[in-house]
Amino acid sequence: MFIASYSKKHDVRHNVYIQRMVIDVLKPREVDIIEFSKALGSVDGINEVTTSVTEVDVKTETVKVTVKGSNIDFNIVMKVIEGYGAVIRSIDEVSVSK
Amino acid sequence: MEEIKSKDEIPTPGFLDRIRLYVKISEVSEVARRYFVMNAFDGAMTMLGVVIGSFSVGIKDPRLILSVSISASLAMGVSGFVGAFITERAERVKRVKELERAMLTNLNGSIIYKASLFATFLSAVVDGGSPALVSLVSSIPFILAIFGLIDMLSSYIGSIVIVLTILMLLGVYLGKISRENSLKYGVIMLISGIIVSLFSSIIGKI
Repeated sequence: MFIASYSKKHDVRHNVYIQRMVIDVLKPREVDIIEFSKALGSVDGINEVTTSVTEVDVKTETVKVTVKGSNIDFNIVMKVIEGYGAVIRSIDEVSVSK
Repeated sequence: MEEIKSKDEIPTPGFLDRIRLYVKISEVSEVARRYFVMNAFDGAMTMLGVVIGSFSVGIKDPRLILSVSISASLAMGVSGFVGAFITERAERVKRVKELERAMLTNLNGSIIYKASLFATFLSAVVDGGSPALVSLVSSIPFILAIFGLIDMLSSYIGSIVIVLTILMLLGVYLGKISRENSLKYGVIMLISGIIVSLFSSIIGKI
């Protein structure tokens, strides 16, 4: 009973929003970071995207993507990244707030 | 604050933006350009052979030449389309598979996969379309002759002039791409056309 009322009061999905994420992404070299960052930037709830290349390989590039916004939906971010043929290697930083 | 969004809210670029992105990612423009010039050259040469061969054996019926050139353009179109489609597909699939191996992921449905599909189709259309288009354009004088707008000799001359002009323009285009002397390329193409004309007329006389 207590747990039910607690979870209702503090429903994580409704009260806490992701405002900043740092994601480590491996992407094909054909996809340039301008297009990639613009696509992420056009997602609702994201206000700012910073992408920096950290490693360059023959066919791939590792990039550090920093997304900032009022309400970042990670599922959509993930879908956009995957849509560009890139994969998320790790999530290195997350900031959430109410 | 907004609620969690459904997956339909993934932003998708408009049609033209998508095409531009596919072209950029697949780097198809260089391949398509090469296919275009190579096959337009093929089409022009074939037409030159057909026209001069017909002239030297003295064919007087424009319908005959038109049907030969339409069949030739159809054959070149189909062969170009199928040939380029299969070759290009194999190359592109290989590239995607190599990338998949490098990234340890499945790229099906990603922009890389879609761009390679697009590049395959575009190459095939260019490869099939360019010779077909060139041979159809160069047979326009015979269509005019069928309708009695020009006589047979003028249609032969008109067709040869069109073909040689196309060859020259292809050369100029190549010159522009390489940023070298356009005229030099144009003249080389023109000379190759004239050589074909000479050979065709000699063979026709035998």
